[in-house]
Amino acid sequence: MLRLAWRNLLRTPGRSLTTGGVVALVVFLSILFLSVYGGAMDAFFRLLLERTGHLVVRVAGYRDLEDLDRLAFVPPALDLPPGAQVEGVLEGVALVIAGDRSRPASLTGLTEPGFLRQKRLLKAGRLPQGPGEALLGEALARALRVGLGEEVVVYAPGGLGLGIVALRVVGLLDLPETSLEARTLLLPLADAQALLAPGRVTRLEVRLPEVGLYQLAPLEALKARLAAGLPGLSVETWLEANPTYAAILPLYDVVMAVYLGFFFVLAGLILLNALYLSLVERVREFGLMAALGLSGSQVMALVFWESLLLVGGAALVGLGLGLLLYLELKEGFRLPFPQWILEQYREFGLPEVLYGRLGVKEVLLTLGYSVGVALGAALWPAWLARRLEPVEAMRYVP
Amino acid sequence: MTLLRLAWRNVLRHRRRALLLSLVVGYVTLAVLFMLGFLDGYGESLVESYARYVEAPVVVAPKAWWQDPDPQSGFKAPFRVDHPGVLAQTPRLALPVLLRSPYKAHGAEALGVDPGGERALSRVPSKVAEGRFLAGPGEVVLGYRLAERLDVRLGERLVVETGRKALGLRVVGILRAGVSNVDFAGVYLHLEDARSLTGVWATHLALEAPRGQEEALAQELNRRLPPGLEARGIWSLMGPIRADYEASRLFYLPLLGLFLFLAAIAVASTAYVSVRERLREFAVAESLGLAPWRLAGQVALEAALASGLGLAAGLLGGYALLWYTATHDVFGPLMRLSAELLPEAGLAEHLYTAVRPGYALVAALVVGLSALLALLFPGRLLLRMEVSAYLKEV
Repeated sequence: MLRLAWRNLLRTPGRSLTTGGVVALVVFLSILFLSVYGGAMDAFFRLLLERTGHLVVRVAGYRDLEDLDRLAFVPPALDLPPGAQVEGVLEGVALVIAGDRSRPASLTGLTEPGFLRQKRLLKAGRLPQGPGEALLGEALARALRVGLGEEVVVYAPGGLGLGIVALRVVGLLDLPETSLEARTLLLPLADAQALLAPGRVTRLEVRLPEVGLYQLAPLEALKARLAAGLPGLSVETWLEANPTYAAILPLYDVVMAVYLGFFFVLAGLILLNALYLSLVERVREFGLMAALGLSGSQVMALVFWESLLLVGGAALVGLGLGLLLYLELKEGFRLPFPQWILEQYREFGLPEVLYGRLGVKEVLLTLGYSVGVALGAALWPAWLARRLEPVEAMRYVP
Repeated sequence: MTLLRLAWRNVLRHRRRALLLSLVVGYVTLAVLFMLGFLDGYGESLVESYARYVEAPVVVAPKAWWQDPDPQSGFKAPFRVDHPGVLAQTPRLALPVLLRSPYKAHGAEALGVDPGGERALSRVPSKVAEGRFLAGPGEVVLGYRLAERLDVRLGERLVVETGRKALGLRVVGILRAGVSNVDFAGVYLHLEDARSLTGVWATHLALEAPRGQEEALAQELNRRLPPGLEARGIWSLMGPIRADYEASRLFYLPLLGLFLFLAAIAVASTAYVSVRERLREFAVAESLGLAPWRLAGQVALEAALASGLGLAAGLLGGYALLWYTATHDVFGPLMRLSAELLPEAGLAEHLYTAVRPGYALVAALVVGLSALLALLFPGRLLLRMEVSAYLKEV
């Protein structure tokens, strides 16, 4: 049956090539889209993880609290596995004043490891090396008209600390998002505590070595262990700490599946058309085969085999080409858009260079669609072929 | 006319085949219509958000302010644009401030507005969910998400600080506009209060322009405005989200072209089989005096008619779908999630697809493409046909 199906496909090489080409193109485009989309999502989430840490410890119920008095807490000692790092961070809002200019800013008090992570974003100057020094977002410095070595006054009333402090700008940061850059001021944790809440932090960030982007199981295990010993505090994974982003992940799977579905439905309809044409051309032949003893289910099987062979071969070609391209994409690529669009995309946290990602799940999804299309498209022509009456079919004139 | 009738009869000779082709072309037509409607709807929603809530159809400001948006770079003295294309105008004063409620401080960009002038230009005054819009100095209106973050309620006082001056204002209204920038970050105070905080007349002038003529008016004004001033139209005011819209168009339009091409291939493929089945018929027609190019033309006409059937079905289904998504908030959940994710992007909580007759013309390209491909491939069979060979066949 398989050999017969294969021979039938080769009898109309033009049509088989065209239909197979459409299927291969759809499979290739699917692999391409999934790799690019996966790469974009990875870049988005990697940035988030870098900013949040794997686990975040905050005051329990912090989402309903607004005042710093209740959001800040004295950092407890954490029982962490070897290699894990914990950093205290204190965040607040202040008015940054320089001469006759002022801008509202988000203050972030960091320890040394936190500053070290900012090093690659440093556009000018150096990292703070002691108290009284600060990093400013380049856009914020421009708005305040301050440069390296100049002083800014940070005014943050309403907290438990001094409420006002003078800082020297020692470095300027180039952040991907200009809106964030225009309100970013990083200062040593000790200075932030003196200004806002002595001895306290608003969150603890826990970073674990060698834990991949979507490896949530080790995070959940550590979270459960930590949470038991931290009354009044909540421990969240980086995704839980960013619920809006967390909502995207499952949505992404559904959107991409529906998106690919549109392509495969078109491929399926074109395949259905080709199979039907093939049936119409061979009505007399089917009649003859039935007269010679081929059962209805065998006739159906022949049509299904033809469809499966055609789609299977084409899908393998499309998949092969897609995987070849993926190998290129995973080394890094730029989206084929004008430079101004890529620059604007940075404002949403999407870097200009992305790295393609393709998992087994994505390949299986594509192959699953291909098999589904092969079977679905063959259903009606196979049913028609089965219903052919041998005598009538042999007398058929198109 | 005879050729058309003949082509139509040939299409109807194989009803199942015609039905299958209609399915392919109809599906592609529906996809094309929906995607065009979605893209235009997205663009219209952005224009609506920025023109009516976040910015204005056209904004005029000193060039220094565009470069360095600090109140000190704004208008020092009153200014008015006199141009027949400007339907209304109102001064605005944007100033960076620290807001302090009894419970929390928050940084924001406040907008000093003239309540009367604002009503003529912006939809913000009509989106007050609690209380009322500004009536005079000493008052402030906030977006509801910002009010929640500041933990302030109607009637409570809010301190607005600029570093040099501070004002205590009473919250008189909470806005629920359905546009992320307004709901998450909107702070509106009276123009007089903003002037007393900054000492400048305004930072920019918001202008009303006829819909769709914003960019043209901005260009026209740039030729007439005094040196040192610059007008910008709505698309230039949009910021990074415009890039997403433009990228979507760059991505989807070629894809729609590919869809149309694939559908045309399916039509041409069917036409090829149909021609091969009828080679004797064509040979007879040619021997009776019909020129080969007319036969090829008939095949192209058949392909156009077959795809035209699918086009008609697709147009019906596509416009019905567009009408539904243009009148029902189908994309609301997705937009609300996006607005939550990108609160500064100016996204609206609702997105309705656009419905334009012009989409039918784009979708109709499939008919032309099908006819062209049918002429090129099955049509070529006829041009090369050896009439005597087919007439001898039994």
